[in-house]
Amino acid sequence: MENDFIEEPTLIDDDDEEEEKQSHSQIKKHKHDKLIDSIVHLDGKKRKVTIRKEPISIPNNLIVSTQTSTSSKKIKSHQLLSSLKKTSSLQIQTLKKQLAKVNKHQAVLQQPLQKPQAEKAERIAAYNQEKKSLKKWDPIVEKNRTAETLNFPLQNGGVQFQTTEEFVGKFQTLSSLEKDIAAILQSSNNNIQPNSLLTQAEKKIISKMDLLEAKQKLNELKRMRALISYQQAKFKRVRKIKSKKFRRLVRKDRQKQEEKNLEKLSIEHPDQFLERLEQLERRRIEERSTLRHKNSTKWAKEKRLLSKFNTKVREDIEEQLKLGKQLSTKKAQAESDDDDDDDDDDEQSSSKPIVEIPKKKSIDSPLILAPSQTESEVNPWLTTSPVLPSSEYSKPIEVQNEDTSSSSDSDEQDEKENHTQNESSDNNTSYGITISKPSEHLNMPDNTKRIEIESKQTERRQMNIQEAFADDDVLAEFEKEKAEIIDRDRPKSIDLSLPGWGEWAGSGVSVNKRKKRKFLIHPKPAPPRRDVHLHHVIINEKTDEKISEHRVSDLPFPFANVEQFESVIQQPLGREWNPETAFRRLNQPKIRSRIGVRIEPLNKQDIFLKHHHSKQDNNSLFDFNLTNNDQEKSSSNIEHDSLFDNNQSQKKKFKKKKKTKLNE
Amino acid sequence: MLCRNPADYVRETKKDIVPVQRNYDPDLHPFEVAREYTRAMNAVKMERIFARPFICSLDGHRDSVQCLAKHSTQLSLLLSGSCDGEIKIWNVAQRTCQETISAHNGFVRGICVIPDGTAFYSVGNDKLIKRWSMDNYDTPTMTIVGKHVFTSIDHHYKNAQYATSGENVSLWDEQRAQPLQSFQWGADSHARVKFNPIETTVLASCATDRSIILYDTRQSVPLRKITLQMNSSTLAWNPLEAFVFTTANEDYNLYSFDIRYLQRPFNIHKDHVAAVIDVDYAPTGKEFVSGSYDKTVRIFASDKGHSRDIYHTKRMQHISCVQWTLDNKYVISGSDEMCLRLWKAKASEKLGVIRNREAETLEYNDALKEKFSHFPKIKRIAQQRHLPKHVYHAKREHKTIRESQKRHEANARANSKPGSIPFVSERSKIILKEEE
Repeated sequence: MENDFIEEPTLIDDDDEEEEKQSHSQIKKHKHDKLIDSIVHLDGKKRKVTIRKEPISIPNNLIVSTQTSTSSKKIKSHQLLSSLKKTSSLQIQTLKKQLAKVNKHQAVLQQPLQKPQAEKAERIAAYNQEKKSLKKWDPIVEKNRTAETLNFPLQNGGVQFQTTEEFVGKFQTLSSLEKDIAAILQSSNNNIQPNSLLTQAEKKIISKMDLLEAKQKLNELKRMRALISYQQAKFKRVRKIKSKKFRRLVRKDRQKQEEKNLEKLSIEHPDQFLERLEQLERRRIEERSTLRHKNSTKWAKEKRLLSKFNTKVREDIEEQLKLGKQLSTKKAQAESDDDDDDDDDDEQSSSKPIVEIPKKKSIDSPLILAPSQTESEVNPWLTTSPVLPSSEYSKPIEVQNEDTSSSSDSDEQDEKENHTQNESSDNNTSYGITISKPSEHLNMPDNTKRIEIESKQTERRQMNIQEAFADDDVLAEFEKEKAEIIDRDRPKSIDLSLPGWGEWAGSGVSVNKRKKRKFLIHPKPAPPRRDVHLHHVIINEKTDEKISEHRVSDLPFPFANVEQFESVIQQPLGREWNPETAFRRLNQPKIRSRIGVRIEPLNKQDIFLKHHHSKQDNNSLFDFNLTNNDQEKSSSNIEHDSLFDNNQSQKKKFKKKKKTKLNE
Repeated sequence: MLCRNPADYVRETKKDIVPVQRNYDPDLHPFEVAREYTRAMNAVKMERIFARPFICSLDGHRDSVQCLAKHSTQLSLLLSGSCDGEIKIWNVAQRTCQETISAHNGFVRGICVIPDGTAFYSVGNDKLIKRWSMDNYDTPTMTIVGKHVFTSIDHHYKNAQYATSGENVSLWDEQRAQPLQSFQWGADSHARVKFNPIETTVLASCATDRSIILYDTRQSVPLRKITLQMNSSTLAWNPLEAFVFTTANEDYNLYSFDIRYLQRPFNIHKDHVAAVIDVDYAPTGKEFVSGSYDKTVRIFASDKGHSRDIYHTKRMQHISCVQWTLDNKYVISGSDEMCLRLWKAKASEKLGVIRNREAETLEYNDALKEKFSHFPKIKRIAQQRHLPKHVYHAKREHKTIRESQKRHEANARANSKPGSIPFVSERSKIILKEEE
């Protein structure tokens, strides 16, 4: 061991003095070695030189410290104790324990930061705190920035709402008539007093009855009141339902009910049934005489404005028209139609009640049905390609007519195999109404005839187009117009020849042909038109330059696309196009401030304590309720508890989630 | 047969409202866009015709006006301090000087009115802070001798505290003669200190080492410091948005900052052609007014990069202070030639009583102007301003300078290794560093 210590060739330490000494000795040693070497080499022979090393008796302080530093290990207390393992005296045991305790509670403080660093840390912490606290302003700033209009000053004490009791407390009867009526009403025996269950009149009656009967009566009365209140509550609840679907269902239910009633009537009371039919007939007459469902009502006009943009509205209008037609068509079917103007359900027409009418009431309306052809088969505007050779579309309507007739013919051929009676109603095809598959209806029981009228909008439209363009040939006209425009825009040659110039004058003098040719200036051929290859388009090549300087060249900033911008521009703001309320709403300024009214900066307390205040108000109301009504007290307490429980459970859930996350 | 019921159009009494029958049938009112375009054109022309913003000048100071302060409770009162140490109290409604106080030796550097409006403070080059009562202007109710020259003073919006700037930024209590706290962070002089009107504990100062420093009265250390490319002369807090302030910089621009994201301003407001000296927000927070060394007052929308209006007169010299009155109707500027000037905040606004119908028409016209504001003809009329010659030429010159700088940068980029000259956004260019 000792040898090892001594043989350490280089010693490094922090201590300067020792290092100096050491280096000094090293140098000496080195010189000595050199000397011996040179002596040895004098002979030219190699001789092994033994160097004498002297052991050092005292282990150097220095050496120990270097060893520890090189191994970079601190000696722990338990390592020291481990050497005492063999001796197991009680003293050592206690010492061990004490040391363990000390080690356990060893909390070393970090060296304090330098002043600039400490200040920086403090600043960062303070800034982050400030940043965090400013976050609460985000929603308020957002709201103010995006608000359509801001009325300054913003905080004006808020709106105060009157409670019912306050209003009633302030209410006073003014005129003598009102006073008289109030007096009469109050003097009535049938008023319920606030603290008693019975009115005075009821009390009087009860007092006249014997006890048992009175009790019974009282119970009955209570039950009735309860039932009434339940029913009222139910009605109130149902009345408040705004769902259109629900309303529709209710309406359907009502219709079904009436239908049933009608059927019943037809069997039980034919006279009443007849009356009902008459009523329906009267309604039809009314419908025919008024303009109610003719797209001319105020509602319809309003909707028609919107119909351009909204398909739903368009459907509504069509529905309306359909309703009108249904009402005005001569009916053998009884309908229990209500007077709802704006029926917006699509299924209504399809689910119209169809009533089976007894045979004895003979109705001589024809058995007609809408054709089953689809629109695309029939409508020429949907099938024909936009560009056709002129020879093909010279008479498009005729072609189309042939098509339809041929198709209907083919249909008929199929039908002829089944039924022979079709031919009689063949004329109907020309009006867009055809008979198809009456077999289903003919298979119905003998005593009834099933009648169904459908007015399909598409057929109507097709018919209208046919009628409208029966006489004029639109496409040919278009071609002609385009040719004219092309001809007009083509640059023309200029004739500068003057008759009689340089020739003998007089009547009947003709201009020389050669001269004419000489003075005729031919223009350059124009560049090809932009619509040369577009048969269905005329592009005007003479743009109006005056209008262009009034037009916007680029899409302005907030708009994402041209449609958006155009829609904004096309929305008129003036009184001529908007009702008064809309006019005001559309034109309200972004900021309103009145002259002479001071505008204070936002008040933090006002904004962030408002919420707190409202909570407090709720609490006070809550207390008020509690004092007022015992029953409510209990119920509300329960609610409170349950709320509390919910919170608790939520907290628990949250904790659980946390735990699971940790486990993961 | 056409028949009319007189009840529909004859008034029973003189004060009856006349029923107006309108037919909204769109067929009766064709060409709505074209008609409204014409109306917008007329409206915008009318606006330019009626744009007469200058109301009056308040003269009486015997040296150039150095500082301005609005009274905190009375709209008509205005306080101004001049370079000869005088403070004048003006009644703006009557356009008269109510009182003249010789307050300081040398410049009056700053004035602020306490929130309840019963007294005001003034600081001057004579190292004094003086408190004056609004009832008695003969002698100050309190005088504090400071250790250094104070450059500005601002009062807390709620508490009885005020802050001064000078060699450091100090926070004072109204009851004490020693500052509660002094903040120092690098800079040897601060030009202006301003309290935040909403988050009342926050304040900011413009230091002369080109930096802006944020403080909180509850903290013992400043919060953050940003250094800009050039010196900021003053700043103004937005009274509607707690974390927004705008600084007036000597590089002719104004910068709007969100104090939570100080790495770059969220908006740069350009248009001035000389150092911007003062800025003040409208009480609505939607606009601010700035006064510049180029002898013009400009009004900016707080979310726009360019000014919506410019006010100037032949006689007005370098602007030293501007204020926007608390009813959002007027702007007041103080300038080097000893005058205060009162302007309308909206140049074409009609003063005086406006009847309902007129107000509605004006609103309709404004809406039309906004709707068609992107159309070139209307835009041109709305934006065109006649500028003073020096501003006009300076503007053109700056444009050329900016273009040439851009060109140089582009050339350098084109002739160097790709990626070696990075694209730096204009907004982040102006911030040299953000210190924590």
